Formats: sequence, structure tokens, C-alpha cells
Amino acid sequence: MNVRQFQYQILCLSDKSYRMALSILKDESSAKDALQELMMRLWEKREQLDAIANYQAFVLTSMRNLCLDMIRKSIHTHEIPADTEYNAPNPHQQTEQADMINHIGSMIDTLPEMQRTILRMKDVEEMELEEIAQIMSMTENAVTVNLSRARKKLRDMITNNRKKENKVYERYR
Amino acid sequence: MNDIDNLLEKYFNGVSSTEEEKRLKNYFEGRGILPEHEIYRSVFAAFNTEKQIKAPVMTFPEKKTRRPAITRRIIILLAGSAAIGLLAVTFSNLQYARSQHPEYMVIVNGKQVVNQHKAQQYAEHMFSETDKIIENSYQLFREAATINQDLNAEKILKETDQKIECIKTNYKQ
Repeated sequence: MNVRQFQYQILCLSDKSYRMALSILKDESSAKDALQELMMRLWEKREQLDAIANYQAFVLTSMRNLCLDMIRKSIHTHEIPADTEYNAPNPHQQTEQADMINHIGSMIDTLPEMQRTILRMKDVEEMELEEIAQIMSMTENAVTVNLSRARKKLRDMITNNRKKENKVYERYR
Repeated sequence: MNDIDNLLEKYFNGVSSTEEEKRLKNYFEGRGILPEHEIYRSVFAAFNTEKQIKAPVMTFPEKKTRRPAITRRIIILLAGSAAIGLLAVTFSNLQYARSQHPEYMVIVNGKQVVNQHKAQQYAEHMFSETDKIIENSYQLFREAATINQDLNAEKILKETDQKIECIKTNYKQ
């Protein structure tokens, strides 16, 4: 693979790769490091990339593996347990966070890594189930199950958040 | 808007098709959102916002084209000189070997003969000498054959028989 091919087939996936790293690592600086690391590794092994059939699946799989490896190695970074509840910000925090869109991002970040990665690949990157299954090394059925759980959890968090907001407003009314 | 409720139900169960998800996104991006659906608008808006996140510009380390250090240059110079010297010695040895071993050379009685004409003359002389030796060797066999032919016992006996018969005939008469 020459420079031009690398640019058009690998570097063009930088945005998706970065968003995936951001979703898994939940830290901009770490996500940048992961992207830089991945692209450097791929660049060094560009001669062997010609044999790859699906570059997007390959790059995103590599990125996920790299991020998970970074999490494992990192002492300070720790995965939020799957049973963690989303604590709705109080009205003061809400004004600080500006709007609900940011809250949704934070809610998604509380989901287990697998669920939030699948959710973002499907709803943000608009990828097909088949490709997601390939990247996650699981069946399409397993992807559907995880996607459904992630979306339902997100819906529950939004609903509960709305209820808490209403209670707070009623209290201060 | 029962249709949207159905789509939302399918969406949260993870069984909505790509087309149905597009319809949902279009609905929540529009202005005619019903109050009961308003709660989900931020979800699709958050996905759209996340999709706008761009990867940082990648920086690949440039190939180092620095000039070699002085010691490195001296080593290169010395190695080059040594290589040239080695080539010169090898070439002169080859020339010497060629002068010692000309292209045409035969060894006659342990002596090198490089003159092709003289060598051919010598060879012709030696061949004629060999012919003479062979000729002389066969002379003895020829003489023996002549003697054998001359001393043919059967012939002598036949002639003797004929002579006896002739004498007998003359005697009877």
C-alpha cells in the first residue's frame, strides 16, 4: 500500500476511529494518543495491508482492541461498572452543562463498553449490523441483543432523569 | 402518530431497519414533534452532534535526512578507500596470473610451450614417430603370417599326395 492508498483507505477512517476511541476511553487526550498510536502502527505495516478486504472493519477492530489494551494497562483509568446508575445533575449542574445533548453523551458513557460501542456504531456511525458483528467478533443476534439493552437503558435513564427534573421543579414551584 | 410510537418501540428493541431509523431521525430533526415524543429528540440530536466530532490532524514523523556525523563520514571514507584498494590488489593479481598462465599453453615433457605453431609441429612429429613404431610392430605379425602361409601343412600334404599318385601311375605303366 503506497502513501496515496493509505491516505484514501486508512486515514479517511480517522474520524470514526477517533470517535470510537473517545467512546471507549472517555478522554480526549487518551483518544488522541490511541489514534496516533494506531495510525503509526498501520503506517509502519502498510506493506501488509493490501490483503485486507474490509478496511473499515479492520481499522475499527484494531482501534477497539488498542483502546481496551490501554484500559487494561492503565492504572488510573478504570471502566465504570455495568450496574452504575446515572445520577442526574441538579438544576445548577444542568445550567453548567448547558443542554440535554451533553447529558445524553454522559448517559451513554455510563453504559458498559460493549453496549455503548455498539450503540454508537449503529446510531452515530450508522453502520450495518453485519459489520458491527464483524468488528465486535460476535453474531448479529448478539449485536441486536446488546443494542436493544443499550437503547432501553438509555431510554430508562432519560425517563428517570425527566421524572427527577419534574420533582425538582415541583419542589421549587 | 401511532406509526412513530411503533417505530420507537422497534428502535428500542433493536429490531428497526435502517430505513425505519432514518424515518425516526428525520422526524426528530423536524419541527412537528409531538410533546410525548419530545423527550427522545435529545437522543437523536446527541447522535448527530457526536457525528460532527472530528479527529485531530495526524502528524507522522518525517523521515530523517540528516547529514552523517563527522566520525560516520570518516568511517565511510575509510571503508570506501579500503574497498578501492582491495579492488586494485585483486585486479593486479588477476593480471599477473593471466601473464603467468597465457590463454594457449601445453606441457610437453614437463615444459610449458606457449607457441601454438611449434606445439603443432611437435605433435605432428610425434604422431609420425608413433605411426612408424606401430608399423614396425605389425611387421613381425606380417612375416609370421607369410611363414604360416608358406608352411601350410595341408597344402604340402596334398601336393605330396599328388606327387605320390603321379609316381604310382608312372610305375604301373
